[in-house]
Amino acid sequence: MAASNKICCKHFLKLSDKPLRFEPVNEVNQVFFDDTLGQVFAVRSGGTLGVVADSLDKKLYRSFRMQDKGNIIAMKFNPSLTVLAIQRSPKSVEFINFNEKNEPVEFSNYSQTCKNKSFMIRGFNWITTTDIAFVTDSGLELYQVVAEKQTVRSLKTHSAQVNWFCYERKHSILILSTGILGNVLYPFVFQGTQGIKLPRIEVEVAAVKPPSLVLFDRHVSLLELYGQLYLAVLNQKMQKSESSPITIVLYLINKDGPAKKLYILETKLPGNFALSSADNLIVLHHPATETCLLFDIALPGDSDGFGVTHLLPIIEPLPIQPYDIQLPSKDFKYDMCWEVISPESPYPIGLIARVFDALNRNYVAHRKSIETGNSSNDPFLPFSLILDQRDLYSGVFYKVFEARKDISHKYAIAVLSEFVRSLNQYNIYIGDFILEELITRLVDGNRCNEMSQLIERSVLGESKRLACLQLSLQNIYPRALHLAINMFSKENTGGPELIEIMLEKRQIISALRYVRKNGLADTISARKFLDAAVETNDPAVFHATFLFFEQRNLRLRGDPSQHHSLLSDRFAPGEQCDSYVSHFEKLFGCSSALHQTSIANN
Amino acid sequence: MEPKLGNFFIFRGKLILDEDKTDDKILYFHPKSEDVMIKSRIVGLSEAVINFTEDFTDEPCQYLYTTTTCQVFQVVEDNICFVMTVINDNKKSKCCVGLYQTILNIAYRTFCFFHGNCSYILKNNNSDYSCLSKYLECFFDSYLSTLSASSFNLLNAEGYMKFFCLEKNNFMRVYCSMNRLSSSFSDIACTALFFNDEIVWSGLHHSDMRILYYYVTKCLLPRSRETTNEAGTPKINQYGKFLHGPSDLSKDNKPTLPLVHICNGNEVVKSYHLVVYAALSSTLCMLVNGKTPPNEQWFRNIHDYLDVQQSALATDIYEEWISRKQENSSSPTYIYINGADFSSKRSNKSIVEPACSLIADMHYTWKFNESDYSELIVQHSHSDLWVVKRKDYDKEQFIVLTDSLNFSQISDELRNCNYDENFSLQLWD
Repeated sequence: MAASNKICCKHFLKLSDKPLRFEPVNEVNQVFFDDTLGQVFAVRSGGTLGVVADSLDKKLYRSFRMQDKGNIIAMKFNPSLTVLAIQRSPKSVEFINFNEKNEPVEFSNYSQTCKNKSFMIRGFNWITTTDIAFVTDSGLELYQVVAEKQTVRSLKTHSAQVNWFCYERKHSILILSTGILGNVLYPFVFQGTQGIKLPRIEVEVAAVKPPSLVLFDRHVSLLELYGQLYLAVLNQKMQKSESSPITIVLYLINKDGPAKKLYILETKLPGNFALSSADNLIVLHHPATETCLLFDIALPGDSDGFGVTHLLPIIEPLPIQPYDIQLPSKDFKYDMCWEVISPESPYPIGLIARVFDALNRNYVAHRKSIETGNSSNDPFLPFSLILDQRDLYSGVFYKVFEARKDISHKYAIAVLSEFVRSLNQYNIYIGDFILEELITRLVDGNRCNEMSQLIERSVLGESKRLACLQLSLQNIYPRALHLAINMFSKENTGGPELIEIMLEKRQIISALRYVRKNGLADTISARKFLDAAVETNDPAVFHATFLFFEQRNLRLRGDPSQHHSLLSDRFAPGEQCDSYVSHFEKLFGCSSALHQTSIANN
Repeated sequence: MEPKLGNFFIFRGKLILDEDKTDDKILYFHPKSEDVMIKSRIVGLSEAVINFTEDFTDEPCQYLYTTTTCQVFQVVEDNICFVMTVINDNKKSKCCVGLYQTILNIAYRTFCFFHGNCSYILKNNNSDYSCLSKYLECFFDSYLSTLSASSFNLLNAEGYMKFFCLEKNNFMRVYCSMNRLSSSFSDIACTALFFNDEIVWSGLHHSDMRILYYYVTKCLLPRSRETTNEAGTPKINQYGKFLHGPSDLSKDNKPTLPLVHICNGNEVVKSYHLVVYAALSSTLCMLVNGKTPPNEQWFRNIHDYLDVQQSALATDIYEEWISRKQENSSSPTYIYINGADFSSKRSNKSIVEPACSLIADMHYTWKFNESDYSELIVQHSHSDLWVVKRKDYDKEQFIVLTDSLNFSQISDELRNCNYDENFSLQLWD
């Protein structure tokens, strides 16, 4: 990855770093591919010079020799790699047993022909270690291979005119194409030794005259997405002309009911596609443009009101990252690499916003299911990777911003504010580290005006830490002081700090208002306030402050004049306020603001 | 009779010229129809007043008050002087000098906003004053026509911006869509979004925004409303369209865009093309970088991008706006003014005379002996009207009380409506 950093901005897929290498097809070498186990067989001279079965899973590697008994059509190991099935003729399949040393057992050669001599075997698949399904042009034949006895037992047959078939191993689903157009599909699910026929799926296709096969196996694909099996069909009906865009229909295969048409993928591109899936994403390969399209059924789309959701690609079509080796065969495997946000931005902000929304939606659903203890109805949830904001910050934002100092403030601010918007929208508490990053970016980008609009509308919330950050910004941006004070006063635990700050900033009246509003009047120190009030050199402020404390003490201790006390007793000796009393006297010619007011009233 | 504009002129001061050549001295004079002799007499008198008062004080003379007129002066740059005379025949309604000074200042700043300041124009035109004169004429002829009689009706034109404070999720939607817009169209340097005549979002420094606000709400939107009404279409535009930009996207005609000069709070002035796009009741201003205006394709792309999106935003804003307008009908009549960012906010109830004049005087004129915090309670001499002004640094709050009250009842009233929390906010919501 690191080595190819320069080009990965233009790709979201790359081929595996560890390609599967095998000898190419030539005069002496034949190559076969078993898509069920993912094995590639390279057969030299019909097997006499060796057979190499290799796979990306190195545990499936086998190398052996066998007798050349003529042309090979297909070969497939059973899942335990103890029996190799080889089809040499359209009518029969032969079997070779393998011992513990993974060598073919000599003379262990038995075979099975299909039920009727007029039938043609279209293909076969191992269903279990012992059971094998032959698909002929006239139906499905299930056999049990008893390797020890080198015999084959017929289990069951289903008759049907078959055009082609496809098979998915993990869910044991086999689909037969029937009908003249090939559009009537019969799924079979294998349970035990039973092949159970499921309700048929009729794919809508455009009628052709004269009727002939229009739906081919290359048009359909069985994909496992979020733990469920889907049948993907390139929509033929929509394809009115060669240039009209292709849509792909996804049917959910139900093992106990009819398949459901759930999604339509809008490619907006004409021509042929090849389908595969990785990481629960659908990858469409479009040879005409040499690009790939990504779809995710877990993302929201437009519903047509009848249970079908129309989905758009989650990202612009991009080619697979070029790979510098020539692959000798068409049969190659992808190892998908999915990057959400690459350091090689810029991705469109709108796309990033959708990713954030998807992440936060999942996060909220996840929290909810933990809180209620119920597993949520969302079928995608068990497959979602739950990322919280800290993961995103440390794993993505921080890394990207550190690695790429050239990312503009504009872009970084746009990304961060999309994240904040998404978190707010899903009512997720926003961590200070995200907000601090956003604020720092806004300040560095000379966009303090935006910062204050965000703070004033409570988008960034109120916390002591952010208020302190605002305080530290007041040299660059004077209004930050007021923003900080507002934040402190909204954040209820900020009391003592806020009062200190306001006194330091000579905002004594604001401080007194805050004190009164929060019922702190009885506990604060008069001296501290009076001292700050003297410092303002504003007689009105001093007068107001003095009056405030006189009134407070009167309320707390009663009227001293009633007890023939001195006026200076309005402040208890412990309050050390004598100097302020004399200051008041000097300014206003009277030692009591209260006394003054009462005279005025009289 | 409301106060009305008497004249408006711009002249070069400190010029030693022949008496006959006073024509060169006057850069602009409104009304144009005025006799040349009268023009030069008026200008001469104003200059004389300015020069005469200089002997007594370092502070330049700012206004001249007579029983029927009020003349405000502003020497802007290079001895170029802007003067505006307001005529007030009505003895009952008073002139408010502070307001007129603000109007004059905004007029000058608006000119700079669209043309750059006078020294900039002179520098680009070989110090040719007749060229500057043409710029001034071109601008102020149309600008002064927007200064209707109601502009002098005190609170109508105080030069403060009205913000509409969206709820945070809606605001973030607006903010993010603005970010997306300027990241999709990288030549958009700055945006501002209006809903009716209130600012929903502003990416400009408030000193520039104030001028843009004035221009959009007092000139552009009223003009566009007139033209749509004439065409017989409903008041609310059904679809997005350009107010500054091509009127018809199907034709390849290059629109003339205003070039605006933004200082963004510091001295460096940058020029941008101003594109304005309106959808439903929202108006989006875009400042676009570039030596030449954007091409036709750019406008088509912008239209395609904004048409649906901005209408959707406008609908959401409208929903919040309408629900907000319905609440708080029982709250008292008030106005907030924030001198720090030139924003203002007022209650749904409108403020009528004589409260209006009283507030204008309390705001503009009676600034004596004022500390950072103050409270001023004024009773109107001929009615039961009370106006309370509370001041907190740059912020001022005026509360209008119309009942017959004594002082202690007033303070009860004020205590009952506890504004402190709102008041401490810059945009009071």
